[in-house]
Amino acid sequence: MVLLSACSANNKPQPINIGQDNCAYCKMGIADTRFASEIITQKGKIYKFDSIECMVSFYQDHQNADFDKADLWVHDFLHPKEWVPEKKAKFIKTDKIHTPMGMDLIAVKNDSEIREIKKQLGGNSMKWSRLLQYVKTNMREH
Amino acid sequence: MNIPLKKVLPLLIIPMFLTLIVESSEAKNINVSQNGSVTTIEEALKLAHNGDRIIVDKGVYVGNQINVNKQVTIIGRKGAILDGMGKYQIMVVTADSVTIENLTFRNAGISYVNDNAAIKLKEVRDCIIKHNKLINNFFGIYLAKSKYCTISQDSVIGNGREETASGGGIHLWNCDHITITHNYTSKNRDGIYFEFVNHTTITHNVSENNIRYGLHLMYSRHDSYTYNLFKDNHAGGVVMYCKFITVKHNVFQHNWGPSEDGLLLKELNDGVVEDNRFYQNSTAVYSEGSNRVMIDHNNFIRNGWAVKIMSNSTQNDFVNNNFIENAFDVVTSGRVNDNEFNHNYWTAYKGYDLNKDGIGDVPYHPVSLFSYIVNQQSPAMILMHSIFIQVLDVAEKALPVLTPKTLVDHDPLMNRVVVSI
Repeated sequence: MVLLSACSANNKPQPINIGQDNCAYCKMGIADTRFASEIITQKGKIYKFDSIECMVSFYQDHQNADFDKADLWVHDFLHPKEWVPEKKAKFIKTDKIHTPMGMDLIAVKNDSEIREIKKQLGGNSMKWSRLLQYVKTNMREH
Repeated sequence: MNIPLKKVLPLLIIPMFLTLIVESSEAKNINVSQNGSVTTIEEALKLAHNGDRIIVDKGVYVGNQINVNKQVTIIGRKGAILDGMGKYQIMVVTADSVTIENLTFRNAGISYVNDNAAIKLKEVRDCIIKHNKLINNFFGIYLAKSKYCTISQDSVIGNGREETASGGGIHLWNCDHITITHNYTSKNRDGIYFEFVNHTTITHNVSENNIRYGLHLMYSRHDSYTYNLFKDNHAGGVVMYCKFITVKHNVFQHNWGPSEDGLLLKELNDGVVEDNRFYQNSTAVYSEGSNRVMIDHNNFIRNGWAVKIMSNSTQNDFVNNNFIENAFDVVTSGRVNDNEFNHNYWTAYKGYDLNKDGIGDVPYHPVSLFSYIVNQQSPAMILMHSIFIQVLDVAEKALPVLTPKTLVDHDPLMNRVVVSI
C-alpha cells in the first residue's frame, strides 16, 4: 500500500499497478485508473488511491508538515494515463459516472475538456478549495 | 320446447367474450432468422406486443444497441449470437417482466464515458436473465435501479484486461430483491459487484480468476451469500460499509499473493460468517472497523494468516472454528482487543486435558509475538521457524508485552468441531 520511493528528487508520480496496488484510504484494490490519485509527501512517501474522494479524505486526515508540502496528483479522466497536478486540474461532479467510493468526482486537465465532459455527461465543475469542502462534508461517515 | 331467450342469451354471449379474451391475450411467436421475413430483433420488437415471444435463430447479429421496451421473452436457438463489435452496448431493457434466455452476447464496447454492458436492465422489475453466455464484454449483466429480478445460470467471462478496460461481470447498482443463482463469472474486474443493493440473495455461484474481487459488496444491507465458490481472485469476498450481511457455506480458496484475502470485511456491522471453508488464502479473514460479526463453525485450513483483525474492530465473536495448520492463526494491529475468541480448535495448541472434558486446561494465545513482528516488518518473515523466534514466542506467551493480553481462547477445544464444508 505504502511504497517508499528511493528518495526521488523530482517527486514524479509512480504509475498505478492495476491488480496490485490498493487504496491507502479505503483498502480497495485499484481497478480503474480514471479516478486513481496519488500523494507524494515531502519526504518522498507515496500513497495511492482509487478515487479523488479517498485522496482528499486521506489528505485532510494527515495535517502535518510532511503533507503540507506534499504533491497531489490526479488522472485526466479523458486520458487516463496522464497525471495532472491538483493545482492545474479541473474537477467535476457528475451523476453519470460512478466512482469507487460513490462521490462521482472526476478530474480533467483544462477548460476545453471541462466543456467536453459537460457536453457528454453534464455535471458541475468545482475548484480545489470547493472540492476539499465538498468531500469533507459529504464523504460517508463510516 | 319453449325456453325463454333471457335464460339462453347469457349462455351464448359468455363464450363469445371468452374467445375474444383468449384470442387477444394469446402470445404469439415471432421468429427472427437471417434468411426469414424478420431478420433482426429490432424488427421483431416493432411487431411484438406485450407477452409475445421472440425466437432468435442461429447466426451472428451485429448492430447498434437493441432497446427492449415491451414485455417480451427473447429466446435464442443454439448458435444465436449478438455481437457489439467492440463499439456498442448490446441490449438495454426498459420494460418490466422481460425474459432473456439462451443467447450469446459478445464484444460490448469499452468506453470511458458509458458503462457499456452486454445486457443492461434500467429501472425495471420482474425480469429474468437466464442461461446466457457472455464473452469479452466491457460490463456483463448490469442492473440499475431494478427490483425482483432473477439472474441464473449465466456464464460471464470478461475480457481479462488488467486496466480500466474491464468492467463488472454481474454489476448491480441501487437494486432491491434480486436473486443471483448458479452463475459462473471469470476474468472480470469484480465477478459480482453490488453498490447500494438490499435484500438480495447470491447463491450457488462460482467466481474465479477475476482481476480484482470475486464478490464485492459496497454500501449494501440485508444481503446473503451462500454456497458459492470464490477461487483465485485478488480477494474472494469483499464487504465494505455494509450492514446485516450473511455469509454461509461458501468456499474461499487460493486467493493467494501479496495482500490478498479470502474474505475482507471493512466496516461491516452485524454480520454472520458461518460454515465456510477458507483454504490456502494469504489471509483467510481480514477485518477492519467491523463490529458485532459472529464468526462460527468455519474451517480455516492452511492459510498464511487465518485471521487479521485490526484493533478498530470490536465485539466480534470467533467461536467453534477450526484453525488447522495455518502459518499464523491470529494477528492484530495493537494491544487493544475487544473481540471474543473462545471454544475454537487450534492445531498449534500444545496444551493438555487432564479432566477429559474435551477442553484444554491451559488457555491458548493465538497471537504469537512473531506474527506481530512480521505484521509490522514483513522482511522478518525470513526468521520463521528459527530457534531465536521460538524462544521469543515462548517468552511472550509467559509474559505478554507486545501482544494483546485479552486475546485468549480460555476454552480451546481438544478435538475438531464438526463442520460440513
